[in-house]
Amino acid sequence: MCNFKLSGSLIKISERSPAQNQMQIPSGYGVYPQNYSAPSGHCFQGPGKMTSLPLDDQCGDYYSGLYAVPTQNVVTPKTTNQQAGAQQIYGRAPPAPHNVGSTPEYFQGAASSASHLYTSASQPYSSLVNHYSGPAMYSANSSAVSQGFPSTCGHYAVSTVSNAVYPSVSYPSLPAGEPYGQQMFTSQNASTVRPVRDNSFSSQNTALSHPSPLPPPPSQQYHQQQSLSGYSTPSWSASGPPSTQDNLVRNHTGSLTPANNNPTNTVADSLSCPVTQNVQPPKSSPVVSTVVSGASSARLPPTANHLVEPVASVTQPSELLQQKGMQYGEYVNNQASSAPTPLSSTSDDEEEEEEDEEAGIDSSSTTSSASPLPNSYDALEGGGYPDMLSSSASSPAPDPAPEPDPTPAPVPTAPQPSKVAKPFGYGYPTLQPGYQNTAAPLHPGGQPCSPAYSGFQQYTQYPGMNQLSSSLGGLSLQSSIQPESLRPVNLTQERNILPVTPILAPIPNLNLDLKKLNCSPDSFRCTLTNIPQTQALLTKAKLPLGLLLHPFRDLTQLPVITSNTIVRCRSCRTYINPFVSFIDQRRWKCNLCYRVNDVPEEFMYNPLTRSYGEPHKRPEVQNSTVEFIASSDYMLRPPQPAVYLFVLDVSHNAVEAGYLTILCQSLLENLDKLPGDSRTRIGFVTFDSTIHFYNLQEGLSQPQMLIVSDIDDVFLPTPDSLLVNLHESKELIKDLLNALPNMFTNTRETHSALGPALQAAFKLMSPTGGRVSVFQTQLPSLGAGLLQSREDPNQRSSTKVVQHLGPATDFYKKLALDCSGQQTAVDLFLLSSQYSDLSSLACMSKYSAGCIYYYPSFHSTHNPSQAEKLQKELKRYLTRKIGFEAVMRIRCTKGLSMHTFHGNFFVRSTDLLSLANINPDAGFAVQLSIEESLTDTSLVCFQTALLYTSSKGERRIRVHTLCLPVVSSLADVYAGVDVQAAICLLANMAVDRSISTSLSDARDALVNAVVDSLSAYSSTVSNLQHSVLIAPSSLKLFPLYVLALLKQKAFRTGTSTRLDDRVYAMCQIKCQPLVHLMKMIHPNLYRIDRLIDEGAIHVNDRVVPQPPLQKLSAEKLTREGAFLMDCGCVFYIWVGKSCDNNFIEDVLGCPNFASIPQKMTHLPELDTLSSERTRSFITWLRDCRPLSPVLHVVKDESPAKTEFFQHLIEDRTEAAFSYYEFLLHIQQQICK
Amino acid sequence: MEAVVFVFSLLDCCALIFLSVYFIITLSDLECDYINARSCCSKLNKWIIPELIGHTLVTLLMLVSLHWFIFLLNLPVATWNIYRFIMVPSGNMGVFDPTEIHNRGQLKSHMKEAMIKLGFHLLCFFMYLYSMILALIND
Repeated sequence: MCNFKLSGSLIKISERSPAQNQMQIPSGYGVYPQNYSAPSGHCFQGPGKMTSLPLDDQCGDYYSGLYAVPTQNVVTPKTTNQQAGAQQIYGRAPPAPHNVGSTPEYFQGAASSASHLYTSASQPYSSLVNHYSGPAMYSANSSAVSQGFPSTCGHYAVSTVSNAVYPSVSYPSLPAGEPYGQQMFTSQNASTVRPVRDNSFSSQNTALSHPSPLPPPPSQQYHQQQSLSGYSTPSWSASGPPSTQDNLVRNHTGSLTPANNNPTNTVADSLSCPVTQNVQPPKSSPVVSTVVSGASSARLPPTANHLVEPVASVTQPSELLQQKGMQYGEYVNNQASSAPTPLSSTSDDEEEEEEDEEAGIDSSSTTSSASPLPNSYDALEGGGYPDMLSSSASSPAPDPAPEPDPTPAPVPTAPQPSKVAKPFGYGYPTLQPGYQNTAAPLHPGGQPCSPAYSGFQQYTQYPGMNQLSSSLGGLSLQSSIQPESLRPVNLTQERNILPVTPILAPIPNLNLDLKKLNCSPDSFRCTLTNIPQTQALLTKAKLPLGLLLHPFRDLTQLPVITSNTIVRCRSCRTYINPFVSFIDQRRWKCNLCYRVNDVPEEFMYNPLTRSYGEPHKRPEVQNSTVEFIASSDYMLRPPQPAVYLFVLDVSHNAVEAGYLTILCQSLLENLDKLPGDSRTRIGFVTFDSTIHFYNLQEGLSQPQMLIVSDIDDVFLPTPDSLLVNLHESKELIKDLLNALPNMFTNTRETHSALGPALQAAFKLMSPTGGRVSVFQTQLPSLGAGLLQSREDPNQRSSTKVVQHLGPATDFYKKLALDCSGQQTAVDLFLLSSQYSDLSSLACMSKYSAGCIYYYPSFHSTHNPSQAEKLQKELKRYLTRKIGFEAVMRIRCTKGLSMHTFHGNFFVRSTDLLSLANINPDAGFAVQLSIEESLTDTSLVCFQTALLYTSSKGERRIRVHTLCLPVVSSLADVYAGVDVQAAICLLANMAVDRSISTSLSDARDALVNAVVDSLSAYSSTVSNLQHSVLIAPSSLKLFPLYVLALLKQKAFRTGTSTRLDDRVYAMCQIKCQPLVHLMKMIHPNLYRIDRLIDEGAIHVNDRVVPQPPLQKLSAEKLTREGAFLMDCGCVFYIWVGKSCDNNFIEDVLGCPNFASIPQKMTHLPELDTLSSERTRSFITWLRDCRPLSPVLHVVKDESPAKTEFFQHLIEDRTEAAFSYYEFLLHIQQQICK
Repeated sequence: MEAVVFVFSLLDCCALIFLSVYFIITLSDLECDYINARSCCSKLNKWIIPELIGHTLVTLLMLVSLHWFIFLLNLPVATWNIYRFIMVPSGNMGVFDPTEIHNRGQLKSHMKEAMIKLGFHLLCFFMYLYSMILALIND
C-alpha cells in the first residue's frame, strides 16, 4: 500500500523537478530509495505510538510517574542515533505505579554528608575567614531573647527596626561576593555557627520558662543588643585579621562549654545557661549600623566572650536593651537549628573546630561548585543575566567516605523533650493587628498553624532606635495602604481618576519581613491581596478571585539551586518555601497542607555560609522565586534536545505576500542564537497542495526536496534525515534558507493543505517533541482540517450577534492534543490578507501551549510596518528562552481550590497544566474558589512549580510562592483589591463566556461585575446617599477599565471589527501576561512635545524622561501638542495641527506640519536634545515588552487618526458610552 | 404483549444503569487523577450515542404502548440527552471535551448528572419490574 503511494509521489516528483532545478530532486530520490520504503516509515511511527503510553498516562501524575521511573536517567543519546535512543527509552519506560515515597532516599545520602560535617579533622583557625563571611552567623543571640520573651513584645508599639535591620540588606552589593549576597552579620560574639545552635536551643527553653511579659534578664538583652550591632554591620568577612578570628573561636568554645553542660536541656538547665553566651562589653554600641570599622572594633575585645556573669556586663538602660532584644523576635524561629549535642565540653570544642575547618575545606570545594558555570543561569541559557552568578547556590559535595569519628555524632533528630515548645516555626511578625493571631505566642506544641505568624512584632520605637531606623531608610511599619485604598471616592465627581504615574500592584498587607520575601507581582498576582475568609464573604464582595501568573518571565536575578534532594512536603508535594514554619531544627510544617515534615540532613547544611544547622537560611527558604536543577527523578525520559520545525505555506498567496524572504533572512541571522546545545535539531516542511520535505542530511552537497502528494494519508519519506542537527548540517540549512524565498516564485498553486502538513509535522516531531512554527497565509482548503469562510462582512459592525467565535472543527484541537501528548507545541503565524478563520486555526496553538501571532493584511512591500513587526517579533521569537516538555502545577493552601484555568495549555488533571513548550511571554490566569472556611489560618500561600527542560537539556523546576493574608471583614477585602489583576481575570472570563454563549452575554457580565461590586461596596458603607456613586479607592479605576474592555477589539460592538481581529484580541487576552494585557486594554497616553528631564530615570546611561500619564480623552489632546499612545503592540504619535514647529523639526525631522509624510513609522535619529529624549523614551517603552510595537506617526488630519481616536476610551463614540455616561449607567443599575 | 414491552424495557434499563455506573466510575477516576482527561473523554464520548438511543427507544416504546405516565416520566431525560448531544459546539470533541472538563466545575456537573441519571434509571427499573410482574400476572 505504501509502496504504491510512494510510486505515486515519485511520479509527482519527477513532474515537478524541472521547475525546481536547484533541488536535484530526481537524483536525490534515486540516491535514497531505501528511505522511501514502507518499513522505515512505519518503524518510525511505531515507537511514536509506543511513547504515547508513558507520556499520556504516566504524565498524568507526574509525581508518581517521575518517581516510579528513576532509573531512566539514561545517558542522553548522541545526536546521530538520537531517535533510536529515545525509542529505546520509551519502550523501557514501565507504566508507573502511583507510589509517592521518594523521600526515604535522601536520608541516606544526606546523612553521610551531614556526618562528615561534624567529623572532619581539625584545621587551622585561619579557615574561619570563610566561615565568618557567611550570612549564617547573625542569629544566635537574637533568638535567645526574643524567643524567650515573646509576650513582652506585644507590649511595644509597632516599630520598624527589627524588620528593617535584616531585610533591608541589599543582596547584590556584597563585597564578599557571597552567592546569595546576604549581609555578613558579624555579631561580635555570636557569630559562629556553634553558638547559634546552642543559643537557639537554650533560648527555646527560656521561652518555656518565661511566659510572662517580664523584662528579659539583662544579660540576654545585652546579647541582643550586641548582635544587633552585628546585624547592621555590613561585612567584615575578609577584613578580619586571623588572630582576631582565632580569638573569636576560642571565645566561642569557651562560651560554649557551659552550654554543653546542659545536655539534657531541661528547663532549669537552660535557664542557667543562656547567660553564658558571648556577652560583650557595653562599649560596642548597638547603633553601629553600617560601618565596617565599627564592627571590627566591636569584635576585637575578646574578653567579653568568656563566661561572664550576666548582670555584670549590663550597663545599658534596660529599656533600650530590651528594645534591642525585641527586635530579633521575628527571627526567633528562624534560628531553629540543629539540636544541641549531649557532649562533653571538650568534645564539643573539637567539634566546633572541626566544623570550622569543615567550613574551610568546604570553602574551596563549595566555591568551586557554587560559582562556576553550571549554576549560572547565564551560562546555561545563553541570556545575559550577569546577576545570576551571584545568586546561585550549590549543595555541598557529599563526602564519599564519611569519617568514622568516635565521638558521638550529633544526632539532632533525637527528640528533645523540651523542644516541644518551638511552635512558632518562623516567627513571622505580623503587621496588622487584624491579621495577628491572638493566641499566646507561647502556646506549646500541637499548635494550629496560625501562631506561627503571630506577632512578635510590635515594639515601641525607643529613642535609641531612632538613629538606627533612620539609617535603615526609615522603613515604617505603618501600613499606609489600608486607609488609602479604602478611601471612598465619588466616581462621578472625580474628574481625574487616572493617576499620573503608572499604577503599581498593591502590596499584600503582610509584615515587612514577609513582604520582602514575597513573590514579585510581575510573576505572580492575585486579584484580592486580602483573601476573604469564607466563600460567603467572597460572594458578598462580588469580586473575582484568581491568580495571574507569568511564571517563565525573563528574570535578571534567579537563585539556582543544585541539590541532591529537593525538599518537598511528603503529602502535598509542595516545595519548601519561605513561608513554611520550622517547628524545630529538624522539622518543618508545610504551609499548604500543614503536614509536619522532616528536614533532610542535607538541608541542614547551608552551602552559602558553609554552616550547619540553619535550614532557614537556605536559599530555598530565603527566596520565593527559585529554580532547582532537578534530578533524574523528575524525568520520564532523558531531557529532549531542542528541536525546531518550520512548516511554511508556499502557495501562491504566500509567495505573493513575501513573508518567506523575511523569515529566511531572520533565521539566517539568528541561526546561531537559537537556544539549544550541540544536539539542537532543525527541519523544514513546506506545503501548498502537496507537502514538501527537505532532506538536509550531513554529507549532501545540496538540500533535497522530497514531495509527498498523497495528502490523505501523509507519510514521512525519509524520517531520519528531515530533522537534522543544526551544527552538523549548518551549511545545507543556510543553502536552503537562501534558496527558499526564490524557489516558489512562479508557483500557480493556490490551495493550501495545512491539515496534512500539520499531520506530517506531528509525525516528524513525535519521537522527540519540540517546537513547530507554522506560517499560514490563507484559509486551509485541502485535505483534513479544511475550513470554509464563515465571516459575513456585513455583520462586522453588528451590535447584536457576533457569530463564529468558536472553532468550526475539532481537527485542530485533536491535533493539538496529540502534539501536546508528544511534547510538541505548535506556534501559529497567521499572515493573511483575508479571513482565515483564526478561531479554528488558533486551536492548534491553544491546546498545545504554543503562541499565536497574527499579521492582518500582511504584505512585505505594501505594508512595511507589518513586515517590520514580523521581522522584530521573529527575532525575539527565535532567540528568546524556551523550555521543553514542561508541566506546571499550581498548589494552594488547603481550603482554596482552582476551578478554571486560562491560557494556552492542556489541563491534564485538576491542578496540572501540560505545557509542551513554555516561553517567557506566556501568561496564565487561574480562577479560585474557597471550598472550606479559612478561619483557622491567617495566611494563605500559592505555589506554582514549573518543571521544564531547558534548551541545554537540563531538567529544571522554577518555583514561585506567593503569600497573602486572610481577612474576615468586607472592608478589608475591598482594601486589598488589585484592580488590574481583577480586570485581566475578568477579561479572561469574558472571553470564555463569549465563546461558550455569546458576546453580548459577556458584555453584560462585564457591566454586571462593576455594578455588583460597587453596589456591594456601597451597601457596606453606611451613611451614603443613594445618588452618589462611591467606590473604594482601590476600585476607583474599575469602571474605567471595564469600559475600556467593552471598547476593546475583542468585546466591542457597533464598530466594524473583522472576525479574525476580534478572535486574535481574544487569544491575546488569554495568553498575555498582565503587564502587556493592561496596555492592550487601557493604553497609556503621554504628551511628548515638551519632554523634560525632571523626574527622569537613568537606564543604561540613558536619561529616560517620565512624562505624566494623560487620561484617554480628546479633551487632553491639544492642537499645539504631540502625544504618544502606547497600546502595547502599537505606538501612535499624534501630532496636532498647530504643533510647535520646533518639535516637528527636531524630533520628526520635517520642516513643518504639512510636510510630515502620511506613513511614517520611524523617528529619525536627529542630534537634538528633544529628539534624543523622545527616542530614549520610546526605546525604553519598547524594551519593556516582548512584542516589538510598531510606531505610527498620525497627523491630525490624516485618515489614520480614526485608529488613534478609537483608543480614546473615555470619549463617546457612536456605539458606546463615554466614561461619564457609563458611570451614570452604572449608577442607574445600582439604584434599580 | 405488555409483558414483552416491559421485559424489553427492563433489559434496556439495566443496560442504562450499567452505563451510568460506568460514567460515574470513569469520571471519578478522572477526578482522582487515575486517568487523563483525553482518554476519559474519548471513553465516555463513545457511549453517548448508545445511551441516547437506548433511552429514546424506551421512551418511544412507552409512547407506542400508551403508557402515558411512564412516557411523561422519561420524556424530560430523553429530551435532555438529545439537547445535550445537539448543543455540542462544533469545535468540541463531543459532550465530554478534554480541554474543558476541568474548567468551570464541568467535571462536577457531569458527575452530578451521571448520579441523577443513575437514580432515575434505578427508579425506572423498579417501575418496569413492577409493571412486568403485574403484566405477567394479568396474562
